[in-house]
Amino acid sequence: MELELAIYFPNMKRLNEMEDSLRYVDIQKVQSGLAAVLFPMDPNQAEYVANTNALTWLDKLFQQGLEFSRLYFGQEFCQNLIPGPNEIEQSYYYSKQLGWNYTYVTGGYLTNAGMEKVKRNLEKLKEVGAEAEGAEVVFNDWGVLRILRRDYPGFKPVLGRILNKQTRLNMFVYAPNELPTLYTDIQTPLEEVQKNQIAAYADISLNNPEYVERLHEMGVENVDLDIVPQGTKRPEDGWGMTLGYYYPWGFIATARNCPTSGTTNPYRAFQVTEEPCPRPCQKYNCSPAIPPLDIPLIQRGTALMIFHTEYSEPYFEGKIPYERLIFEPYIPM
Amino acid sequence: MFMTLGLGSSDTPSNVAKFIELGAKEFFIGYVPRAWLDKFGWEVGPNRRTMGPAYNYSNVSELRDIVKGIHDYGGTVNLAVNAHDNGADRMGMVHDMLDLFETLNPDGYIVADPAVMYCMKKWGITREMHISTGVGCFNSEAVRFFCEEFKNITRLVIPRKLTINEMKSIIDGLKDLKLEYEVMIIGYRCYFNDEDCHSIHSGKRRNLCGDVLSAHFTSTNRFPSNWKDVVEYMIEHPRESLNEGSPVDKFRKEWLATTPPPYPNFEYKCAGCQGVDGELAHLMFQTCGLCAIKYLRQIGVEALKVPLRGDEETKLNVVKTVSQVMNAENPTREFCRSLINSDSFCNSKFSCYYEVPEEDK
Repeated sequence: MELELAIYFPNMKRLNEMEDSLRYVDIQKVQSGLAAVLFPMDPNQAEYVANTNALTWLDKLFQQGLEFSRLYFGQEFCQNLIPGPNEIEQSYYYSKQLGWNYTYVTGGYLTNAGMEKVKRNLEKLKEVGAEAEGAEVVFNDWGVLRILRRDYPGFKPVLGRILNKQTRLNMFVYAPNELPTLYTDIQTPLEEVQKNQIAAYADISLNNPEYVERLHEMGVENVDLDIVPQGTKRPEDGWGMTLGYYYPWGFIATARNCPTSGTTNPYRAFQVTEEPCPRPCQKYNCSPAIPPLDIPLIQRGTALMIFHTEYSEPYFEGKIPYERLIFEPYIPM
Repeated sequence: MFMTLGLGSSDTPSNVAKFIELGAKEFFIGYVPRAWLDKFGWEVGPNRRTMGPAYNYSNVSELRDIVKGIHDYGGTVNLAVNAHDNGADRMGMVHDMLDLFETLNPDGYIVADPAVMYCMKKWGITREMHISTGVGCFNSEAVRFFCEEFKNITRLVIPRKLTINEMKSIIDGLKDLKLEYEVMIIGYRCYFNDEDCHSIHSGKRRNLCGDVLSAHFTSTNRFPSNWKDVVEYMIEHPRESLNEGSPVDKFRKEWLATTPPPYPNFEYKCAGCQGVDGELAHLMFQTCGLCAIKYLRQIGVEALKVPLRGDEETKLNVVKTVSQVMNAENPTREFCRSLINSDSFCNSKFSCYYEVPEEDK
């Protein structure tokens, strides 16, 4: 099965920048002193360099003759950023104009109010004919799967990455960030325990037939995952599902409280409040610098995102079987 | 309303007697079988407390004793099998573990992973099941999804990151279901959503949230959209880039025209405050939802979770404090604050588990 190439945008502003988002600039060619005025040692600025590096890997797929044929559109990580029905409609027609397939991405940890937003968008997509033609909907909340099955059975549900609870070992790829293993009251040699742990971190819940069979019964035939350095154990039949990987941004953790919003109301850094969010994440990043972990971690709004480095190379070299690459030219928030 | 209290491996039946005397009625515990431990270590655990021996029983006889002890003293006990992700290789051991649990006659299981739920169904385990906070049911539809799939669900553990009004909306939307509702009320509040944090909990190093909470945060404006044009100019015109009015000059001025607000300082301010220092109160209570209890009671929450597995130093005092609020007819803000006895802690709203409207406190 040929790899399908999708591109993912969280809103129309970003989608309208698609051409520019795919334009490569070689930051390495900027004189180093000069480069520092745009790209200082600030975790927030790592995003731009990372995005251009990702384009070089995307180019490898283009060279193999692949082209984008699917638009992913929507918001996974914050219900305050869910695009409205007008944007949904525009994005759908945008994909039609390009002759692409369409996937509406819904979010995780939706409140009842968030669910209402999703329902309005599904209603709009139904109205414009997306359901009738079998467009996809990524669900990251089990409540969304329930309403899809009940009210919108024409959409193809895709199990989203937020519902994949696999441990992300991305923080422990580089020395000296060793795999943390508390070796207390254990009889087995440490090396063997760690080997078993890494194998366990690759062996995800989907590998249980009881679970995957029920997903099939509910019409779930596609799953999207994050790339992890330990890899993901997948049976030969691929769970009977097509598998998509997001690249280059994965998430390590996410929340409803938000450090970026905490800059405007300190309590929002820790608590969920009734006050509406002014959405400062659309203007600036607010990232933690974690000195022992010299890795590209960026906090965008509610989500701690990580840029996939060397461990993602096999995904571009045909060494790992999967069916879809979901390219994120920006952190999708 | 009642309290459900987490027990660690050092808790004995005689401790349970004390906790019951202080107001706890229900308990939850975790267990890591020896065979599991020798294969996977502590970090890949069958529940969410994978930080080492203090958090879980790992000896069958101690497990039997504590479950029996709880029942003998009139309490109830639920077993936490709420690891988020359980591959097929582990599921056989989960099955063995549940077979053992069934012989102990616990009152229920706390489960997070749908794969475990479907397996339990297949294995014929029909004992009461609580939807762990690790499932992440933030809306009524999600709760209904699980209640339709698994008829033995009797309780929803409401995720931490919801406002009281959002919780009310969920509960009000599920009046036709016979469900109990449980909330976390005190102790460590995960920085990220528990169910959406995919790093490692280990006793070997600080957790990811510890890294983040102790990190220095920097706020930086995102680039104006023409940044690639500017980079190309810098490549082609490195010398001219330094001139006033160059695209680089203009870009930086636009980019830095406003300074984003800094990340707040979350230190406790003690000057002129009565009672114990805020940091010390934080060590005792960590995050506190006492002021919210009367509102939680009003919206239909019945169970208050005190998740202190492994926190043996503070447990007795915290249980006593929660119990006093839980049993008070009208636990006002002033009453709760008098029990905490730290103006510094209580004046810092980031100490609060939930937002409670000022006018209603």
